[in-house]
Amino acid sequence: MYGMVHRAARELAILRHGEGKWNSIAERAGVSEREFISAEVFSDAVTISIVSAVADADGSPIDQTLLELGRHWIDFAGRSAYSNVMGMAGDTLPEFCRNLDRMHTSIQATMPDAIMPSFEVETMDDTGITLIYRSQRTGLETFVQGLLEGLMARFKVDGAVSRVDDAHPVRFRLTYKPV
Amino acid sequence: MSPVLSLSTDEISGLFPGYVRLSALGVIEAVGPVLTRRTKGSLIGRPFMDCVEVMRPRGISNFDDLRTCRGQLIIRCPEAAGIVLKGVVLQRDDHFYICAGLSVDVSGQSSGSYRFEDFSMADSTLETFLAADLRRNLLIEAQDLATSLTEARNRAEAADKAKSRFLAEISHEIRTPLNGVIGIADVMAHGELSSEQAGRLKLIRSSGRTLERLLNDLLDLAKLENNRLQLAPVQIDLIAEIRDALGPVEALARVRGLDFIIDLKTNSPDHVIADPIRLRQVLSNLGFNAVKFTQKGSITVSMTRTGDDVAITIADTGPGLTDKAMARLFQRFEQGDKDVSIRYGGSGLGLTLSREFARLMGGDLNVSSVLGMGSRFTVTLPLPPAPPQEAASIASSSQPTLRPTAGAGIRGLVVDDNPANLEILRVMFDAFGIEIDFADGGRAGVEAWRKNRYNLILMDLQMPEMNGLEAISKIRQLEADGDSNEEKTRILIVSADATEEAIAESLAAGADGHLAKPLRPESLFRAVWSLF
Repeated sequence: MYGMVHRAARELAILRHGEGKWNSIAERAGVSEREFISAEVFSDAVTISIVSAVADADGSPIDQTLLELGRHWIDFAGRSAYSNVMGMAGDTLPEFCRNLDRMHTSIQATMPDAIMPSFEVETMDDTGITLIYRSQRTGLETFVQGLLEGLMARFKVDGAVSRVDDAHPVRFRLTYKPV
Repeated sequence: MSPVLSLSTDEISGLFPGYVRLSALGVIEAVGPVLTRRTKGSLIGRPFMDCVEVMRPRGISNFDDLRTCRGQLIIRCPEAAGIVLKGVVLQRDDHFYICAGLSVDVSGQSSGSYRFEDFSMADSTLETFLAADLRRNLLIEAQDLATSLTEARNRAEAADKAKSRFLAEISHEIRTPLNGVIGIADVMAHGELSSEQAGRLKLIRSSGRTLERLLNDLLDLAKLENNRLQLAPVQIDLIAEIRDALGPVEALARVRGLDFIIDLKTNSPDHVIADPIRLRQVLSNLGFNAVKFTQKGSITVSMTRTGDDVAITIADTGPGLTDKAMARLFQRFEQGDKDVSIRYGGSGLGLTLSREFARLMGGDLNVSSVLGMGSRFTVTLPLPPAPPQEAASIASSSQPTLRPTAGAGIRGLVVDDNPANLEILRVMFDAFGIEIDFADGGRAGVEAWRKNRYNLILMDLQMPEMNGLEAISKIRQLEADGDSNEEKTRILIVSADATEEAIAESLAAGADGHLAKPLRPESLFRAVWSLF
């Protein structure tokens, strides 16, 4: 993953445990850097080590921390160098979801080494959105679920996110009250 | 020709976000998402030519000219500020389409006012625009990172300086009582003692010397960290200096049953320019280290010269070093490995300081080692030869020939508020037949001098009411105001503060020399004789 995800993880850890604890989390994760460059691409193993060390500090299962990191990521990205991109992707949840794939494609052009996921709106109506998530990676579905929950919070939409089934490609259903 | 494409409004919007659909008469019927959002729909129903400025092709001023145009069209719409539409004119049935995408000046604008829908999916304008935007942001991020790293470095340096100050201050505080312990022990050694007492006293003295060496190392480290360590290069007899520095090492090696081989035959000139104190410190550290880690075999000292560069090697037949140990060897407070510090003790500062001194002198200190065979430490220094005409006048620093004498006309006064120091100096002067008086502070010292006109004063620096520098200034002032034929009083500072600043201040105040505590009889009398 790229450094910006690590920056978000670092911020989450510092918010919860303080700067000093972050140093020991990074050490435990075997990460020599204490700061990350947003556009730097890291192997997924590094990301998982960091999340795992944060989960240990939280005393939570790693999936719980992945979910919370996903939620935090949206808020973090909205305050980061990517805030303009987030703004351009849409002013409403449906609009944003429609542009999610295009956003990743466009960012990919600036970071050719990054492996970006793909999102496709399968259905969209007044009660929710069904989104197809495709990625070369496995194991990050919980993180994506957190991202989608974070998006609902960004657009102040009451609702829930769930996996439609265990089939592949993975489908997420964003359910909300009729607008 | 029949049309080959039939596109929905959404599809047209996706391909040409800035499209405009016109009636046969040139009235605007629909616009793409860029213009809709930027003009809030105000263009619908209005004549196209009233709403735009055709920048290319030049000379198009009416709709008839426009609809027949088949080249690239570049249009500016004043009501949609900041954007330019690029496209072509297409005719479909009785309608005309200005099929245009959005073109933005990527260098000057933030992406904040745009939406993805503003950009055609058929070209890479969005990617170019985002790349420029992200590049700007990444530069800001890099600058922020550089700033935070600079701040962190500044904080670390400030903490390091504070630590060095603390080391210097605490070393000074320790030096004063240590001076008392070592000095009194030295004094007692001159008295009559049973063999058991003499043995215990020897232990006290050797422990005191070890502690003193550690203190000196810490002070040197503090000076190095604050860039306050200055070299004092003078002309020295190199071979005599090396032999002198390694004399105690040789003695210890022989006591331990080690062979000590010293081979200094080289084409090196006898006299060179060097800082003898730091050179001795480096050689002494390397020599004692070699003895410390060598159980059997030999210590060999050799020297080679290439141009002005002199390489002095101290090789041992000790246990040798692993690569890992060698990597840690010159790090502060580190030794080769933990077992070494447990087994042999030591602060781990000696080699660090030795390398720092060597580098300060323009050279370096390197090590090579074979595990199980021994180690070779080589200090390489640029030591230019001394000018021949001055070489003859060089006095070796190794000339502590004491001259026991019955006073030699010296009338001495010791000014110090510490009773232990007074006692130490009393015994030292007694041993050399010099009678001295005492004053327990600067003010009392000045008064005593006024009454008795001593020709030698040993002055402490830190004393209550009137410190040593103030007392010296007062005495020098009284001398200047008095009879010019009166013999000038020689004043030596005796202080635990041995920093360059303290020495410079002492000399500036009128002192004739500076002696660091703890005092040795040799250094005291060498300094005294040099003044008479």
